Amino acid sequence: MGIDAVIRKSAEVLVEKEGEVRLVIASILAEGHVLIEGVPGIAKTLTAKTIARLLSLDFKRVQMTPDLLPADVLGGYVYDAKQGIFILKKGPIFTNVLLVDEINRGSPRTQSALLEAMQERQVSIEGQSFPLDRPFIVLATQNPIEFEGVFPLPEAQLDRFLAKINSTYTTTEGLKKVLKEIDLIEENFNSLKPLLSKEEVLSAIKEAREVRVDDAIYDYVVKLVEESRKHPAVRLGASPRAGIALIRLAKALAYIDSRNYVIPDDVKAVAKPVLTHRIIIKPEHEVSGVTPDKVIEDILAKVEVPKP
Amino acid sequence: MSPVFEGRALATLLLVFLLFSLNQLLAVAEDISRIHTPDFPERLSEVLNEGTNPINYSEYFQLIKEFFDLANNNVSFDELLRNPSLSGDLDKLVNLVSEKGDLENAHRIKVLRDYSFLNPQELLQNISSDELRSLLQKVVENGFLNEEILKEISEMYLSGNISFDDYVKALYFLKKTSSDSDLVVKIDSLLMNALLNSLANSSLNVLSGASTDTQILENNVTSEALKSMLSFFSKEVSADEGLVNMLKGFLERTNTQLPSLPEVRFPQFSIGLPAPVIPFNVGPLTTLPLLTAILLGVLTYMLVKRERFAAVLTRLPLIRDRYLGGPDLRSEVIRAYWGSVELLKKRIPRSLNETHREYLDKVLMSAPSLSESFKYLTEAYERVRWGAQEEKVFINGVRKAYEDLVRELSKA
Repeated sequence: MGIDAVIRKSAEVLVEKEGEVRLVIASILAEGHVLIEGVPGIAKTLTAKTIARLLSLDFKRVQMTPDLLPADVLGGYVYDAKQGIFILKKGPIFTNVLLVDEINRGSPRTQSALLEAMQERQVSIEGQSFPLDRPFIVLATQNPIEFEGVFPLPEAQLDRFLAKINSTYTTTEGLKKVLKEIDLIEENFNSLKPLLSKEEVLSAIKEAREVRVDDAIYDYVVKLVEESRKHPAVRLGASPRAGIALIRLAKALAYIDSRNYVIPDDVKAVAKPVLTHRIIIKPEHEVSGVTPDKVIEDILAKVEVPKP
Repeated sequence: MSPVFEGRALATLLLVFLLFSLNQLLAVAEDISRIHTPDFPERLSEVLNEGTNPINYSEYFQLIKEFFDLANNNVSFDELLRNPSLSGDLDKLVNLVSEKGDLENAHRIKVLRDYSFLNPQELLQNISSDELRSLLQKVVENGFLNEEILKEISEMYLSGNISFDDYVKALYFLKKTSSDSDLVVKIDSLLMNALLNSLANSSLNVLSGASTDTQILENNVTSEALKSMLSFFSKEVSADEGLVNMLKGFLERTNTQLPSLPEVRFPQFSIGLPAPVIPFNVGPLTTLPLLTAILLGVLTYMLVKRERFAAVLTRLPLIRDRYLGGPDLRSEVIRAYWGSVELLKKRIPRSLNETHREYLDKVLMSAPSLSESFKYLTEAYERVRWGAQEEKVFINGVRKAYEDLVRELSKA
């Protein structure tokens, strides 16, 4: 029983979400966080819950609102009237999979506290540090069509997400299947049993790190990153962290495909999820319809695949 | 006769004809190389023999021997200069060294003799190194000339900080201003060493130039001179090791017969038949058009059958690897894959940004008849190239897949 079984099982609950499931699992194996952009009602929460359940991981959810405080996410000391002392009440961040719904609705202060904890994988409460459990992955969602009452994430904080997934509606056939089989889907979800233990997930993370990467793959990634900075429509290109993310996610994807080596296809497959939120387009090109995805396509078309 | 057999027979005939022509050309070329350019000397001795050349090498080595014998018998440099006969010999040697073109050593010997006539004031004024001049002035003013100063001046010369001329002037200056008889003897010995080193270097130049000339090397006088030189330098603690080794080398060569160079011949085959006699006179201008016509014929055939030739060419490295032992399995698999891509991309274009899997998908869509063999090659390539998993690749399968692909393509 392995990762491929998890993907197969998740298909019983999630319709036309295999690509997203693979990317989320790859991010867990690469120990990186994921930003899911999509409209409400497209099974973002269900995706996170399903994966967490199949991998025996703790799951918690936070709904971001402008009045949510850092302590509501991280936790804090509260007075216990019975005992007459302050006791630590850990926040929802102390979990394995944290779904942060509508992250851009949270105040910059709360966003910042959350993203700092994501980066350092530890939480400081009243000057005391608490390491977070492994694996720890934040699946943050944001709604692309809202502009009122939101606080867009700054570029530096976006860079902390390993990958960004653009979650879309299902196809007509997919939607029909959901409508017809919703009872079965709910039943399947309720009867989901873990397929991997947490220890097995940690062991898979370790194995994914050991996936072989040929020198030519590193050269290919370097060229992609450098080319992203030279593109005429780009104001801010990919950072070195983006390059690291490309390699890590490509390794995890290779591992999911039962390979212990990375191929150029892996890098190509993760290029959009990794780079799309890291590339900023010049305003004059943005108004003429150039998007980060278009730029990434240009770069992939321009950079030669390693040969021989 | 089938067209395939006809083609092979024609190619074999052409190959035999070309090999025969090449063999003939080589034989002629070899004979030409044996013909010596008229009026051009073949050996150095032809140029240097005593009858035609003014330089008398026997006299030269006789004089060299004389000076080294004197040094071996502890004759001082001062005595050498004061003896009119020896001084005359030194003049002769300067002329001989100069005539054979070794101007540097001729100048050095001349300098060693001429500066002995200058007075201390003249010597000091003519020293070009300011550092050396001020050092000598201080030595004279303070009167602290000792062996350390001599050593310092020698080091300045050996490290290239002062010229040979300045070195000799300095030694003469100190010799003429010093009242310490022991130091004067020491300076004399340094001057003698300078003279003998110049003579030894001059001899080496002569012997190196005459490395193939047995008349000089086998001469008894040369051998005696070398022995005398080696006898002197073997007593010198500070003798240049390289110089001594070269002298030893030349001495060994004077005692042994030099081996002649091995003769190099092109391998030639003989069919044991008399050369065909052409019953008419083929002018030299007929050969060129004939060869051009053959070449054009071959090129035209290759152009018409270019796809088949391209397939054969891409197979050549694989065939070589199989029969002559290729570099390794990894290279063979990678070459087989890219060889097949080269053949395929004429029908199914491949862009540089396409991965091997993307191209495989295109091939599977466009040419199902090739899909099985190309898929096998792609999978083997992926394992070997990106996974370094040579152990998981079955090389005979790769070879078969490649041959199947080539066969399938040549059918089309």
